[in-house]
Amino acid sequence: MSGFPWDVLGIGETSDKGEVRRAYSARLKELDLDQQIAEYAQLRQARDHALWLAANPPQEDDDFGLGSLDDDDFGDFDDAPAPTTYDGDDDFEWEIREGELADDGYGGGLSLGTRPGELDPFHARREEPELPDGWAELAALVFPGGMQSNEPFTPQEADEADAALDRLIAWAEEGGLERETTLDHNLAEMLAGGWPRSAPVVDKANTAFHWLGEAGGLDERPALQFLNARTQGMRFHDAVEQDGHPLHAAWRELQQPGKVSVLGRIKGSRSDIERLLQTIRGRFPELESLLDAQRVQSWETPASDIVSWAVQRLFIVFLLVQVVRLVFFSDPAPMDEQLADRFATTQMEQLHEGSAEVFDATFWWVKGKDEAFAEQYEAYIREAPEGEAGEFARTITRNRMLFARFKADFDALVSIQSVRLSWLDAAKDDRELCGVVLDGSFRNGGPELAGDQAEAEQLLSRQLLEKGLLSGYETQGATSTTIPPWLMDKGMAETGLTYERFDEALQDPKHEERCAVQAALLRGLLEDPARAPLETLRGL
Amino acid sequence: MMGTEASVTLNKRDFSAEEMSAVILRSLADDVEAATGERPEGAVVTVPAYFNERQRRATRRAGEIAGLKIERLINEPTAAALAFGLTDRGDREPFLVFDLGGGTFDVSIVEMFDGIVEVRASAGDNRLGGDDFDQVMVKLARPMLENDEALDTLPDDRRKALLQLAAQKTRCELSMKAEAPFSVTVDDTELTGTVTTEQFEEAAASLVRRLRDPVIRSLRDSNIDVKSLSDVVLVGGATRMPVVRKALTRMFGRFPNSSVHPDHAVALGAAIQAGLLSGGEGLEEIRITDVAPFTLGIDVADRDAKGNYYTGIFSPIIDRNTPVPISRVQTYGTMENGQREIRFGVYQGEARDVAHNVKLGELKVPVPARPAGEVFINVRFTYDTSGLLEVDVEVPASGLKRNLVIVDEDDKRSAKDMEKSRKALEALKVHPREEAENVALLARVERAYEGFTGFDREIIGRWIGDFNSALETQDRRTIADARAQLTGALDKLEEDEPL
Repeated sequence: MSGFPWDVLGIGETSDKGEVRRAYSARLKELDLDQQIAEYAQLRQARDHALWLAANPPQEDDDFGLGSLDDDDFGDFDDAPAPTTYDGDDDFEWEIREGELADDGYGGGLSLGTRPGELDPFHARREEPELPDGWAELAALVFPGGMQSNEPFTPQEADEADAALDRLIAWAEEGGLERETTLDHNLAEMLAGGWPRSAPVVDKANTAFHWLGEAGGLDERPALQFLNARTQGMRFHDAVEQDGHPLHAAWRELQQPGKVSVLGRIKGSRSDIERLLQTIRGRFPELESLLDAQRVQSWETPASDIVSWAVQRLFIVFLLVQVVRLVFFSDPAPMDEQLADRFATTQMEQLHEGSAEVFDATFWWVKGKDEAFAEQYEAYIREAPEGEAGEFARTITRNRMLFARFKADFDALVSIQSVRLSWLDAAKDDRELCGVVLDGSFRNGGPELAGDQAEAEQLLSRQLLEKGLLSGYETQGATSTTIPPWLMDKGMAETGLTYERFDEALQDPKHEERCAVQAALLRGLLEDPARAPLETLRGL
Repeated sequence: MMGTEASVTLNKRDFSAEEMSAVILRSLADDVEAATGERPEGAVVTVPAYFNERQRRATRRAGEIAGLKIERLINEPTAAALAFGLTDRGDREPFLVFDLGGGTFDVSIVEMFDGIVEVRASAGDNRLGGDDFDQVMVKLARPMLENDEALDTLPDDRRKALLQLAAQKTRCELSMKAEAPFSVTVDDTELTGTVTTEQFEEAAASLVRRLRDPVIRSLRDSNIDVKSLSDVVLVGGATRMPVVRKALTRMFGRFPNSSVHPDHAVALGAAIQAGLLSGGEGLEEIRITDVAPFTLGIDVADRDAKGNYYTGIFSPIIDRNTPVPISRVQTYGTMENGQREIRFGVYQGEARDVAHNVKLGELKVPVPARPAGEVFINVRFTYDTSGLLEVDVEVPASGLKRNLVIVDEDDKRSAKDMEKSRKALEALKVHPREEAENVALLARVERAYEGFTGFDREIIGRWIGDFNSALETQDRRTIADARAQLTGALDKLEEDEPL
C-alpha cells in the first residue's frame, strides 16, 4: 500500500478498475452510512481517484498531478486529505478523427487543433466534431465575413437563416440526444456571440431546446444567461406594447420625443414610470434604447426644478381646496370633481412617494407669491387643529419630522428624539399605535399628546419648518443601528428584562415588549445624548 | 398535493394530503394483516426522487399518523432500479431509469456492481405526468364533438371527469391502434370524435419536449454521455404510450427496455429495500447509495462595487446530485459594523434567486458585535440517506454551537395534534377491502350505464338494480356471487364493444 487512495481502499496500487470497484464495494458494505458520513465520503473519493489514476496513468511532465485539479468536486471534509476526484466515467478517451474536424465557422464553439480533453478532462463536453447541414450557412449569415455585426438581417437573410436553423433542428431531432446536446451547446454559443444580428432566430432555437427552462438556474450556461435575458426582454417588449399591460401607458409616454409637457406630467403616473424604468434597467437594459432619452431624463429630473408655473398653480388649487375642506369641513363644490377626487385619493400616496417634492415646491412658491396663504398654512401646521384637519396636519408634520432626522444636527436630533419619546410614551398602552410610531407609518395622525408635550411638538415643528428641515424626503442612512453596551444595560435595567428577552424584543417587530424596550433605549440615550455616536441618535 | 396545504373533503371533514396518505397507508397495513395475519409495524415508503424536503417530511408524518414507523424513504426510480437489478443480476454499466407516472416524472442514472446499487444522478419534473397527456387529449378531441350543448350544461367537475375518463380510454386505445374513438355519453346521447396517432403526437409535442430537460440534466450531472448508457429502463404507467416510447427511441437512438413491469417495479424495489433493512436472507450483500436530488443552501446578501445592497441570493451548500449521506460546511461573515445577529433562510432549489426556491425554514444566531466581516459562522448541512436535512451552526468567536432542526410550519404541529389526527382517522370508517371492491364495481357499472345507449343501457340498468338488492341482503356469499357475475358480464360487454 502506498498512501491515498490505496490505503483507504485497502489494496495495493493497481490499474485494474475491477479490483478498485471490488475493494470499494467490500469497504462500503462494512460502513453504516448514516453514522459514518465522513468515512463514506473519503471512501468515495478514494474510489474515484483510483479509477481516475487507472484511466490516466501518471506520465512524466504530466500536468494532472494532485492539486492541479478543480476544487469544486471535492467533498470538503475538514480532516480528509486533499485528494483529486474522478466522476466515475471510466473510458475517457478522446477519439479525434482528423477528417471530421472541419471548419467550424466561428470562434466560439469547436476550435481546431486543440484536443478539448487536454484542457479540462473533467468538464470538457464531448462535442461531436461532425458538422451538420445548415451549420456553415447559419454561421455565415450570423457572422457576415466571419465578423460579429450589428446590422440586422435583410428579409431574405432572415428567411435563409430560418431555413438553415430548421435543417439543423431536423438533423438533431433525427439523431437523438447526442446530436441535440451538441447542437444546443454550439448554437447557444453562436447566437450569443452573434447578438443582436442573431435575434430573429433565437426564438426558434429557444423553442427547440427549451433554453428558457434554464433561465435563472444555478447552472445556467453563460451563453444562455445572455440569450435568455434578451429573450425575456423581447417578451417583455411584446407584452408592454400591448394595450392591456399595466405599464403600457408609461411605456408609450417614455417613447414620446422631447421633454414631458406640463399636462403630461400630471396625467402620467409617476410610480408606473418609475417601475418601468426600474424593470428595464434592472433586467432588460437593452430596451432603454427604444425610449426617448430626453423624455426619460425629463421624468427623472426632480419636479421642483422643472415644474412650470402652471403646474404649481394647479397644485395650489388642489392644496387650497383641500385645506379649506379639511379646516372648515366644507364641500369642495367649486372644483372640478374629477380632479378633486383624484387629489383626495392620491394625496397621501403622493406625500409618501415621488410627488413630495411638488408639495414642497408648492409651499415655497406660495410663500413667495402669496404671503397670506402661506401664513394660513403655517398656522395650520402650528396650531394643530382638532378632528380630521388636525390628523391631517399631524400626519404630515410627524412624517416630516422623522425624515428630518437624516438631515438634522445634534441639537435638532435631540429635540426630535425627545418628541418621539413623548409619542412612544403616549402610545405605550396600545401596541398597534406604538408600531405606527416605531415604523413611522403615520396615517391618521398617530398618538394624541397632552398639554406641555403637544406644545413642545408644535414648537419643534415650527423650528424645523424655519430651518427648512421639513422639506424633502431623504431616507439615506442605516436601517440598523449599533447599540452601545452601556445603553443596553440602561435599557435592561429600566425594563427589567433578561438579555435574551431584550434582544428578542429588539429583533421581532411583533414582540409584546417592543414598545417598552424602544422607549427605554430612547430614554436612556436622551439622558446622555452625547455619549453615543451621532448615528445611534439618528437611527434609534 | 403532498407538502402543500390543500385539503380534500370526505365524509364532511377536511383531510390534509398527509392524512389522506395516512388513510391509504393504514388500509394497506390492514390488507397485509388480513393476508398474513401479522400487522406490520414499520414500512419502507417510496417517493418520487424529485420530492422536496417538505414533501418528504409530510410523507413521514403520514406514516406516523397511520401508526407505522417509516424505516426508510426510498426514491421511486431507485426502487425500480433495484427491481430491475434483481431480475437481471450482475454488474451493469450505468443505465437510465425513466419513470413517468400519473403526475410526476423522474429520471435517475444508476450503476450496479458487486452488490452495490449506485445512483449517480436524479432529475425530474414535479409537474409532468400521464394526466398532462390526458389534458392534451381533451383539448385535442373536445372540438371534434358536435352538438355538444348537453356537455356544456353539465356542472364543471362532472364534465371534467367525463372528458378525462374518455381521454384516458382513447389514449390507451391509441397504444394499440393508429386511430381511436373519443366518446362521451351525456343524457343518452353519445358524442364521438376520432383521434389519430399523428394528431395526438402533434398535440403532445410540447409535453414530449419537456421529457428531454431532466434527461439531459441527469446525464450532465453524472458526466455520462448518451452512448455509454447501457440501457434505458421504463417505469410508470405513462411510459406505455407509444408517443413517449417513440420519443425515447429517437432520443437515445435505441429501443428502451421494458422488461420490468412498469406498475410493479417500484413496489417490488421497496419490498427488496424492506427485506434488506430487516436483514432478509439472500439480500444482505446489496447496498444502495443515492444522491440529493436538489441543491440545498441558504440566502445571503451582497454588496456590489457601488455599495448597492442585494438580498436573496442563493448560496448553495450541498450541490444537487451529491451522494448522500453528506455533510458539508460553509463559512459566512457579518456585513454590518456591530451586527448582533446573523439571520438566514434555508432553501432547496436550483434558482439563483431564492424567491424561486422552496424555503424550508429560517434560523438566527446571535453573534458578538464587531466590525463588519470580522465575525464568522460555520453552517453545516447534513443530509441523510432518507433525504432529511439537519443544520448545525457554530460561531467560533463566541464558541456558541447550535444544532438547529429546521422548523417547518407543518413541523410545529405538536404531538397532541398528531394524536388528534390519528384519532380522527380512526373514526373515519374505511371500507374493508371487500366492501371497497363493491363500491368500485358499482362505480364501474354506473360508468358503463353512462357509456351505453338503448337496449344495452336498459340491461345494465337492470344489473345495477340486481346488484344493489344483493348488497342489501348483507349476506357475504350472495354478494360475492353477484359480484362475480356482474364482473364477468361487464368484462364481456366491454370486450364486445369497446366504449
